[in-house]
Amino acid sequence: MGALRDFVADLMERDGSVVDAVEPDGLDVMPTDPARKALGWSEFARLGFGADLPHGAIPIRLEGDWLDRFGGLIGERGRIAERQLVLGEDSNPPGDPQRLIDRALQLPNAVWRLAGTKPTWTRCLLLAFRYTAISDEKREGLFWLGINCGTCAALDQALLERMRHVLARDPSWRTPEPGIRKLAGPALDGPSVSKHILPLLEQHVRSDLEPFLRAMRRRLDRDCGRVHEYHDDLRRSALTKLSTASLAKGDKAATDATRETLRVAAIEREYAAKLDDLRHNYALRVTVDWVQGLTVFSPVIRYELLIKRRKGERLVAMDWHPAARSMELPPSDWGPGLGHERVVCDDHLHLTGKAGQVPCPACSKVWCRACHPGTCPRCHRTTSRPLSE
Amino acid sequence: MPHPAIRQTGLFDLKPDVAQFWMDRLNAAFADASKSSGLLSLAEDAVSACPRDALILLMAATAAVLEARPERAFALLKRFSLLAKSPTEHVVHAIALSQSNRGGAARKLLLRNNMHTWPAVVQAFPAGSGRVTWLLRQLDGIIDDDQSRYFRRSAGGKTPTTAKGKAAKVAPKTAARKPIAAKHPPAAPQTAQPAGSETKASALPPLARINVEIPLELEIDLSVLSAALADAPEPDGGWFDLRERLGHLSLAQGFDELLCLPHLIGFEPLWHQVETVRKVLKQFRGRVLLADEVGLGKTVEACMVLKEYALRGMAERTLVLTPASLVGQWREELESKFGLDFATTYDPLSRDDPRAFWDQPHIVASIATARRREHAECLLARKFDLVIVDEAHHLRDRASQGWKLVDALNKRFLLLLSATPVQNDLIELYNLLTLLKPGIFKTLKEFRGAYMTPGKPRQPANPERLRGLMRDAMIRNTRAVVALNLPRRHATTIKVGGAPGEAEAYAGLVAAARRLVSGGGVGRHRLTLNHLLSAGGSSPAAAAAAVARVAERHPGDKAWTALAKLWASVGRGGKEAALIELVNRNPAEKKLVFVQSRETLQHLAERLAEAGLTVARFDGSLSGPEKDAAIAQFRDHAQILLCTQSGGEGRNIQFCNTLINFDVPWNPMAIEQRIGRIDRIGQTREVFVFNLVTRGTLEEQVLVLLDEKIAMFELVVGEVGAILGSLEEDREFPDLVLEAWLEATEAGRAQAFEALGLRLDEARQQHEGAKILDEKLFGQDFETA
Repeated sequence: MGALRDFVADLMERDGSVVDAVEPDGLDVMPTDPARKALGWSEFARLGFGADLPHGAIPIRLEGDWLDRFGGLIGERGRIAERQLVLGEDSNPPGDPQRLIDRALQLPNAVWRLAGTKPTWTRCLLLAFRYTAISDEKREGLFWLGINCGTCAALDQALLERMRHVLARDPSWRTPEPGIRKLAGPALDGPSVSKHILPLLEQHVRSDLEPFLRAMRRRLDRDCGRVHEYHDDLRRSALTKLSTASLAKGDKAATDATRETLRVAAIEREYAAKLDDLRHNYALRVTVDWVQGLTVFSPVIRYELLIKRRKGERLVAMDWHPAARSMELPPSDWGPGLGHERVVCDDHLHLTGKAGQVPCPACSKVWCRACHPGTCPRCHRTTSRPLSE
Repeated sequence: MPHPAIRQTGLFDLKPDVAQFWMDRLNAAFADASKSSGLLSLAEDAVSACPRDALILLMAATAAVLEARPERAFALLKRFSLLAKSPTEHVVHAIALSQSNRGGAARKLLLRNNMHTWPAVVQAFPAGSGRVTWLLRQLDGIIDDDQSRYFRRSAGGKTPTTAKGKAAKVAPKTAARKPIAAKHPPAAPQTAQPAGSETKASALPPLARINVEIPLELEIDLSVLSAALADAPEPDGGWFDLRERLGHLSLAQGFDELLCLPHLIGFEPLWHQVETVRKVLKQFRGRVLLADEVGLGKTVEACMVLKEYALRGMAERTLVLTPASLVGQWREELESKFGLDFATTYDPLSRDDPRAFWDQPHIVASIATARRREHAECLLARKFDLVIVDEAHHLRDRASQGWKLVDALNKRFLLLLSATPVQNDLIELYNLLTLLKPGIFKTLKEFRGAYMTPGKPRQPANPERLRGLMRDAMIRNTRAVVALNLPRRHATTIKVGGAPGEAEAYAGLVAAARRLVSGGGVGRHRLTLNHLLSAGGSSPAAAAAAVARVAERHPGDKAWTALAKLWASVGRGGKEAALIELVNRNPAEKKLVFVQSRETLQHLAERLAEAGLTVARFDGSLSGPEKDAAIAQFRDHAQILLCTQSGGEGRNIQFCNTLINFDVPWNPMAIEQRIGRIDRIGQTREVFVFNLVTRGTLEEQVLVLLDEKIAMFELVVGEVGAILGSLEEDREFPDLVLEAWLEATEAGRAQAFEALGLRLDEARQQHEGAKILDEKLFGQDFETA
């Protein structure tokens, strides 16, 4: 398998080992000491990757524990990196920023005015996560999320993909220059990154797993239907007997009626218990682990917008990314911040998606989730956070 | 200090859970029949938490009557009535009225709301089965207030009597919660039945269904990220790149990331197909019976598995065994959609040098050819990484050569494909699954004893256990899983009389063709015959060109030259006018017109343009971008897309819903392929198929066979293959047609076509029977989703 062979060759070279290609589909490796320890090889190893192995080669396959061993050799290296984005010549700024912003920002209860425009640099933090969903089967996935540290806006998947595409196209890896670092502003600290990335993560995992969940729901519905049908039959039979007993007189009839009443109740309990079993069997546990992160120093055109709501006003920034030739999403003070619509709250002019200003399900008060995270200011009930926007 | 993992439950809960929480608590309290106090206070808490939740208000009113607090119940019911309506409120209201010594009003209220029978009342009462005895006492109180004892009457007003001649007493029932109109759709109305010995089980209140949501727990650990953000970043990205590649490789390791997806050509697999492929690779480890219903893409799934194994270096030698009629289709599918080049048993090499032929790494073979001794010996001497058997129900008999061959093959992965794996009895299932997982059912004797009902070979004796075992070896997606509901298809055959001179020219062609093979050598002239007769059925232009080509090969035979001239003199065929008339009937609707030959295509394009119709052309001579442009032209401007056989393969033309077969291929698979261009997933409108044939041609006879015997225009795309496969012939259908046509006498021909029709009819009946049996046996229990 070419991808695996190339990976192993690059890994060993990066680690300082001497690597030479052999045919068919093999590598000769003189590993470093740490590599020998991590991989369990001797001073010279011949590796084979195809169906036909070179003479005396160790077969290296995706199956088995080889990837774990290679992962052990990598260790914590490559977790975090930074890189300056180099743009081509076709990165002219947009001609009509008003129209661009109009499309990118929809304010149903406020107005905006362009207060300033400047070309600058920003830090975009791109983070890779791996999720593992385990129920009656297992599902794994790897995905990337991004935030613009300069504006705290989420990078939507299209922009992110285009940016990653530009990065992948450029083989050179340029370390950011000091002047550019300064222009791009400070990095976000751990808690700030967590605050912004967590809602995005939840949203993304949810949408990624939706087909998987839909399939599980279908199976569950089918199983529930079968359990219901079985218990319904039992219960009908008991009810018929109960009906007959209720028509008769005497102690025996009364005893029968009591027994059948108890039987019906027992069937209903058993039905509920069986459904509990199903609920338990289908319970889905999703773990999400961070894999790696890349800070991209990217040139942007920054637009400063003055947002006005009643008597209040607030300045926010939105960046246009020449690399992706697109406008980023507007910033959001609560929730994942995907989508283009932002509702502005009266008190602090927070920008949120619609879900951030929905009425309380308990008392119907409309309240801003950014002002009062999670708790209704009127009835003080805690509500689960709606994720979709 | 690392941050603790952030644990979130209920992430995916879409409904407000406060109300549900209180509902659950109230339900639990109601279910406990011993609990007679504290219900109302609990309900009041619920109401203060969810003051505008109608269901909570109704349950609170119920709690009030359970604690004999009718005045509170009235207040709560009033609030409820502002929000929603439900039959349940009348029951609670009636009880509250009865508790306020207004039994008459209670009775009238119930009567007014069709609460004639105890099941209706019991079903509507929201406090569940634990409170039935209490409810019955309350109802008796209402009844005692009125001597009519209306509860004992049937809906029709009859008073049923018991065996003892006494009206039935209200029988205790468990309560099934009646949904509230504002929140849930109303339950189906109950048929009122007399309560008594006549009470039928169907009239009893059903067990209330409980909805089960999948609990989800999301665990996100950002502690490593927080710590790493403080570390110095890597300057050159070398390790970063390696870590990223390792991530992808580890996903590919578990088959979560399919390598084949970016390598598919011109189509996007459906979700259930991707899921199936994942499962075949992950769970079934490459040995499975793929028994999807017809039209869901078993072939695509199998090819994706093949491609995946090939890309991973796990399938260097592959063999596809299929009925003869499907060999070409498999080869084409593998090449056009998966970029895989396969040799087939149609290649001359398979006859000339079987050893060299079977030495090739990728082969599509007719199973009938493969099981012949000279080929079987070569096959058994070789190792295969992957063997795919299409229409695998032909292996149902373990005494057959086919079964023995597949069983004896040296293979690592094995995919058996059949929409109808069980045709007659469960032994066939035993035989198929034993191929996949030898020993899964132990010996045949043990299988019979454990899983078959004596005397009923189609009925499993132990269905759950049987299904349990089958789940390890079988996938069967149904239309329900993909919510596939293809629109209706209407097919019409238009028979035209032919242009002046056309019938005479066709008769001349037939005579010349018969003369060609009169001295024997049918095999040698088979292609020529096929070509001539197809062209004759297509158009005068195609026929003239075909005859001219034969005349060139037989320069001494003046008859061919004369015949070519005769065809050329016909000029326009009768079908052309019919086509133009058909198009003009509804010119706004786009039409896909299929033709077999390029001469016909060229000629038709000119004729249609003359008639003022806009035409786009699509044939095998166009390059990829030209083909895309033709489809775009058809979509945006042209009324008609004129296609040869390859027309629109892999391209999305579901915006068109009308197809015209200007000529009819003898091979029903080809007709089905044409129909499949527009009658496929994504088509939202009804599909119209028109067949144009000239009276007295061979095409007319072929259409009679296909339309009348197997009703092919009503079949789901994919079914024709299954039916033709049942003919168990080592020859393709066109060869059978030609063979019938070659009968020397008119009577002999009629008899041969009749016999072919009978065989088709039998094959269709067998297929239909198997479909019903398999649906009954497997249902939706083996779906991937």
